[in-house]
Amino acid sequence: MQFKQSIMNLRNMKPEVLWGWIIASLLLVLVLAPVLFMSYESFVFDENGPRMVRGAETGAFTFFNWKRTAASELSKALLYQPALNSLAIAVGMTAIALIMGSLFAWLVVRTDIPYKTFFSSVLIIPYIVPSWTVAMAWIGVFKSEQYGGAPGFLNAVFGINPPQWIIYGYIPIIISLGVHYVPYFFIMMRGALANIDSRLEESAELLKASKSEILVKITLPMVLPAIGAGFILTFSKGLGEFGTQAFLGLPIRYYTFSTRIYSALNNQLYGEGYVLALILIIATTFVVILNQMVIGTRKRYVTISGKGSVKKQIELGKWRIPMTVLMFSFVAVFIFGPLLLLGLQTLMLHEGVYSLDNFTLHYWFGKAGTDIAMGQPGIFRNSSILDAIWNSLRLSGVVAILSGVIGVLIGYTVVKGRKTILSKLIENLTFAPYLIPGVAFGGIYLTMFAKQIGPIPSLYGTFALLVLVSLVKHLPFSSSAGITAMHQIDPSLEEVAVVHGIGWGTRFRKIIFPLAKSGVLSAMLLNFITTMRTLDLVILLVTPKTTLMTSVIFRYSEQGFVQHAYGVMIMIIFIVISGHLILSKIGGKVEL
Amino acid sequence: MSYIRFGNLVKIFNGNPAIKGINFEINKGEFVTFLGPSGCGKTTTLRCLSGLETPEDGDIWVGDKCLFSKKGGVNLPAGNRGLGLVFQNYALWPHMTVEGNIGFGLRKLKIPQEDKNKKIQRVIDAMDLQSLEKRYPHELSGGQQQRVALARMIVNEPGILLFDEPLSNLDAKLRMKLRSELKRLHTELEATSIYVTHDQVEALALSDKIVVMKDGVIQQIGTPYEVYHDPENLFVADFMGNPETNLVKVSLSGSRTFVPDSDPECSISFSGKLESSASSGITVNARPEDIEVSSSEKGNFFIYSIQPMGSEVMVHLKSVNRKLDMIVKGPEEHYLKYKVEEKVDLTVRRGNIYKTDTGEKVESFRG
Repeated sequence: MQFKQSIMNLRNMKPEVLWGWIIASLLLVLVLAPVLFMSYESFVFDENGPRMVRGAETGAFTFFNWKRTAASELSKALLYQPALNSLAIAVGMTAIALIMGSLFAWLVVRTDIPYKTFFSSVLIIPYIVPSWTVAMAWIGVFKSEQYGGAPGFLNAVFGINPPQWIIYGYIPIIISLGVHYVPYFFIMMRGALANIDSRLEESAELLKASKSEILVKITLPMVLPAIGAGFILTFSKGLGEFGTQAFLGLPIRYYTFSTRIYSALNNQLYGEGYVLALILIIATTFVVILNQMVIGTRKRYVTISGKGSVKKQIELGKWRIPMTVLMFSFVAVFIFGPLLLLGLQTLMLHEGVYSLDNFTLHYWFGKAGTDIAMGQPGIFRNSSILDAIWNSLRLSGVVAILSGVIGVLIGYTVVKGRKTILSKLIENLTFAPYLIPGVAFGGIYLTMFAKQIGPIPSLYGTFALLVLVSLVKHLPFSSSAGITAMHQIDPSLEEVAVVHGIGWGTRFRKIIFPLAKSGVLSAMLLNFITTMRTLDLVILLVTPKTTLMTSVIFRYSEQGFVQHAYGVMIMIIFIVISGHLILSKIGGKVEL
Repeated sequence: MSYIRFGNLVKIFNGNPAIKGINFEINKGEFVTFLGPSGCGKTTTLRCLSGLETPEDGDIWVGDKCLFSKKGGVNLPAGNRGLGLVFQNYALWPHMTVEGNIGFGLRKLKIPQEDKNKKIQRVIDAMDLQSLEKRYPHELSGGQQQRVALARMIVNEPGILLFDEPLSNLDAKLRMKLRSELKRLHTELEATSIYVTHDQVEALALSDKIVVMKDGVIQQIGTPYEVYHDPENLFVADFMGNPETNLVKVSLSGSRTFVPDSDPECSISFSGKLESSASSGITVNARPEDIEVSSSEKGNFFIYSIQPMGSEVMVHLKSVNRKLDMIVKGPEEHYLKYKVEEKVDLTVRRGNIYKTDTGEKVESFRG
């Protein structure tokens, strides 16, 4: 009787409440539990415990991990130096991105610089391609025989041996990452500058203010909030960056937060890895809270359509030619240069030999068993690469579609249940993955789902685990797109169907989803692109059966098969840029 | 014969009561309007009846069918209540054609597709939508969209029609036209209709019965005539009437004169007889069209402005001391003869008096 009653109650429950509970409990398991799990694990001995501490038992409570990481003679190498490096990198790359991005935005929006459309479209590219594109090309240009490996472009062609600090470490890292985030500031500042009413500046002009005075006293203060918000956001992203630091730091043991976490987890030093990850999560959370306090509201994603109004343009005069040259150089050196170089390298039989007879298509189409690259076949004959391509496409496709459906479902429960505690809980939980660095997220999922938990079988090494981790990591974006889309659907459109006695399933399939679809379509495509180029999240999770294009690049360049790595890289870049072109065709927006 | 019954209905949103225990009955075939300012609970009452909201307490009956009962643990799903609903914004599904919109409501019906098509065709004919079947909502005019919404509502042949401010998105001319269509539809279908609006003109024009609500409480239930001419309390008196009615705090002087509290040197006479003994602390409700104006050298009022409104003229009067404002209205030939600044006296031919503190009606008078 009681059971029957509770079934009745369940059936009478509003669908948004029922789904709210389902989603909230899933989020608790998939978002909150990993963090709790990680916190717990940081206070017990891992499997290496007995080896490192006399009398320690795996699973016993201990402060050992925290002490070892934060207060021992190893701390400097494990925590403080990497933390300092991360901080310095975040500051350096943000500064570069801010200065270049703002300058370019100002030039394009407010001055009479030529080729504006061209600059506007190509300046987005560094943000679409993987963040470590420039890093890979950088090595190809600067590396020299002096520091091991084949000669780079400079070494081979001009015989120059660049010093080590130019090839690896801080300087190349901030330049590579800085270039990646230039589009971020460019797009944001372009929007901010376009929104300024030029009459405000004209009023100052009428009061006889000079051009530089107007720029400093009128324009700058008005875009300062945008700069501040962008700075903090880029800074927090920079703290967790992985790929670039791995490519340009690991060869000389220059560690940062994320590469330390990676090597700890990769060497199964879980205690140490989790302590580092927790500290990084706390740091990122702090930065985001700071952002919230400074900006007032939590702006998850700023989306800008790229439209700007026509304004009175400032004449650059004698600065016009130098500025145009500067912008062209940036585009040539940092955008087209790396892509060309990567492409070129895949055609060269012997790395660093720049002569015509060295060109070959072997790395694309070559047969296996030759004496080139230890007998590795070319990309299109290499079954492990082909598998990785298929896996990447499959993963990105599945994640894109599922994230769209989940986004709408979350949007539905949040918008319909507005003002309820459940709705707020869901909204906050979906944002949480944003705060967890990708490497750490992958690491937790690796351990958490290694064993069977209740009805969930062991997911280690499965494609499903990759789908799951990507879906959860992209939740902040998918759900905010879903919430926005649901806000645009009038509730009466569903209520009419309720009055007609149409069940929830049909309502969702035939009314809610079709109406929200166009709103989440661009989010789905963006999730496709992001999944395609993600490295940090999956690097610990892939197995030989589930390799992805990004992990193939990572492994191949570790092993020195650079041409193969570059070839796969070119393919990723081709796919994400095509995806982006489709996106702009369907009127989507660039995610920041 | 009562058909729909609301018993002690209560609805609470996040701790704020939206309906505070209302009771009333609607007869079969009646056209009833819920009228009141926004936030008065009229739409919430309608949504409770439709099943879109679940009340916190009370019961709702249609004939001998219980739709909702807190005590009985009954809460019939919206789709099983046999009623149709039209929303303010029409709520047409933008991704379906006219036909698709109308036919979607028949999905649950277990009858052959042929019969469904017949049903759809019938309402398309009835609503004059021929040749628009394949169009999408955005390709239709406001009036056509409205007719599609009506067609979708009646395709299931509901016994009760619910309207949630269905005309407020339309321009004035179209609104008039559709108002008469709605009334016609109600009569033809022999349905019982409940109509929610904040527009008193609509309510007066359409209804057999008006339910005036405020803050989740019913203020008055009556025919349009009763609600307009015999408001049960000050709120209803104030809410009804366009232009605004004159509510003046007065005391009684003799048997034929009111003395306004705000300007005791001035007086307003009235015709008719008052039974009650209350002589002070009262408020008189005098509708602009129920006040007679006459020229007088020593008049208590003067003409402040005259505004012709087509068939009628609205006149703004001020007491000689400028402490009291009155609005009167009447036929053109009667008022255009007056000049601005001319002194006049006022006689109220018909009105009601209320206790100022409680707003309760004391009595009505008529000359």
